[in-house]
Amino acid sequence: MSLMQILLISVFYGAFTASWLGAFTSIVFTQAFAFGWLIGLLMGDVATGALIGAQINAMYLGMTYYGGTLPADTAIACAICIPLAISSGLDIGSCLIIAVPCAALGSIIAPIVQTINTSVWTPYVDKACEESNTMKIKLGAGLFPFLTNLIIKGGVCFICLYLGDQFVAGLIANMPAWLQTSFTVMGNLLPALGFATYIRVIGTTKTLPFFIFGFFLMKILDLPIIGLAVIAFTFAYMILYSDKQLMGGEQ
Amino acid sequence: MTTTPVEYRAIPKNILLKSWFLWQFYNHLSTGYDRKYVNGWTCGCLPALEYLYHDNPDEFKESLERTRDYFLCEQTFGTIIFGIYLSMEEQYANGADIDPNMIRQVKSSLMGPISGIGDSLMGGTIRQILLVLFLSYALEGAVWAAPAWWLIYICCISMPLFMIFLKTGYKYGKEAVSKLLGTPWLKALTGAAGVASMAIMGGMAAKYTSFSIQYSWSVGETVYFLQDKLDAACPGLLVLIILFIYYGLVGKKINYIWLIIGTWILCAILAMIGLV
Repeated sequence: MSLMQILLISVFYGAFTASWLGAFTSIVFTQAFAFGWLIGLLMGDVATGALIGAQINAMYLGMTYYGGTLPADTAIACAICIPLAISSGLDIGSCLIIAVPCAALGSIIAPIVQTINTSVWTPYVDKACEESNTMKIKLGAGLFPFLTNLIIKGGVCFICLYLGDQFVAGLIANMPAWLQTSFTVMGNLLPALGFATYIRVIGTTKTLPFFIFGFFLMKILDLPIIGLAVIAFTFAYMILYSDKQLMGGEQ
Repeated sequence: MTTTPVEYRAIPKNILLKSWFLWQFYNHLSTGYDRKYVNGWTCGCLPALEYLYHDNPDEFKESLERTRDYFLCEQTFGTIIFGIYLSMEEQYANGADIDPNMIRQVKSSLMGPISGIGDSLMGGTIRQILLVLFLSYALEGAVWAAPAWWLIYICCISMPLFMIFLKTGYKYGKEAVSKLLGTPWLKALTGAAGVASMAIMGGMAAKYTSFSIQYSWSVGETVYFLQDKLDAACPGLLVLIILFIYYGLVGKKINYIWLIIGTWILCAILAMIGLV
């Protein structure tokens, strides 16, 4: 991988995850299959990027971000794994192995950016408001936090990619079998954490049984997702008309 | 107000849209811990406030300081609050008998209920269902899945809702919300969406989570696998048990990083003794 490519990916990651234009960009970088698609595009291999992104996404499925906190930063996992896969020929299995620590790394650096926002830029905007200085407000709420994010997140991504090429390949080659197994098993287990969060946030005691219903329906019948969606909506419709009390439930 | 304007200065449509766009643009940019999206809110209000208080720097300064409260809300549905907020500022700027603190209170009191609906309907249901539909194609290698998903989400769901909410919020002021929150169909819709999304997510959990134990024992010549016995009794039981252990732990508000590290340590131990 050339230095230019590393720089391009790092800047792109750092700039994009600053989440300007909130709803339009945050849905992209919180979902790895969309962000992976973009990284693939930058690396000149959309198909590989999209596929690896989708695999990473599946691992963290159900982990949406509520209240602005990211449980795992799958965007940095995409930004590191996909370029390595495309330029160094890392296979998808190995990619998913390094995706987990990368995503964890991302969620470790995110609080640093938020802390700077809280302790530096918000007071800065407060002061600008007292002075009625609209230019300063826009800088303090826009450009400065953007640069903070770009430098910190992009910087970490740059270091990882710069060291990564040789380092990651060597790491995976020398990894004992049990360690590789543990990562694979964990990769298959992690979605459970995502779904657990989902039903914690969205679910109520009244709707929880439907989760178990959907779970076993899929386990036993192995339906396509569309088929499951049709059944689920039919069910919801039926219940809507038979139990008004449930529908007006807790939410 | 010190001066009473001769004619009512309503916020023109283009300034309202500009305000909304700036708010969207800055909303997540400087998320902090103490007041969350407050800076984005201030930026979003700027064009409208500049227009309303163009001849009164003191009022402008005060109105800016009014925007500096904690703000955290799902964006799509939060647009209702944004519309209401600007509409109240407009009424106040035009000399209506509104206590400025009321404007702040309306904003902070609406965040909770609106977020509740927004998170469960948008974040929890519409976005997730759309995501799993397209993700299942992407996993099979479809390159078009990601851009199609984004376009459909933005053009068919997000943008129309944004515009509707901005309009209703601004138009009805604070009456709109009590009207909207009180409608039985919204409650029914939220409830139905809750049931459907729970069932779909249950299915997704079954499809994309797996765990099996590699334990076997032999009686005479025959080898028995523990996993086979478990699958025969109840398929996916182990996964469901693990999921509900997570459910309990998430409820205890344990940091995700610890949960992930803990999972890894357990997996490593199980892998070392050869159980997985």
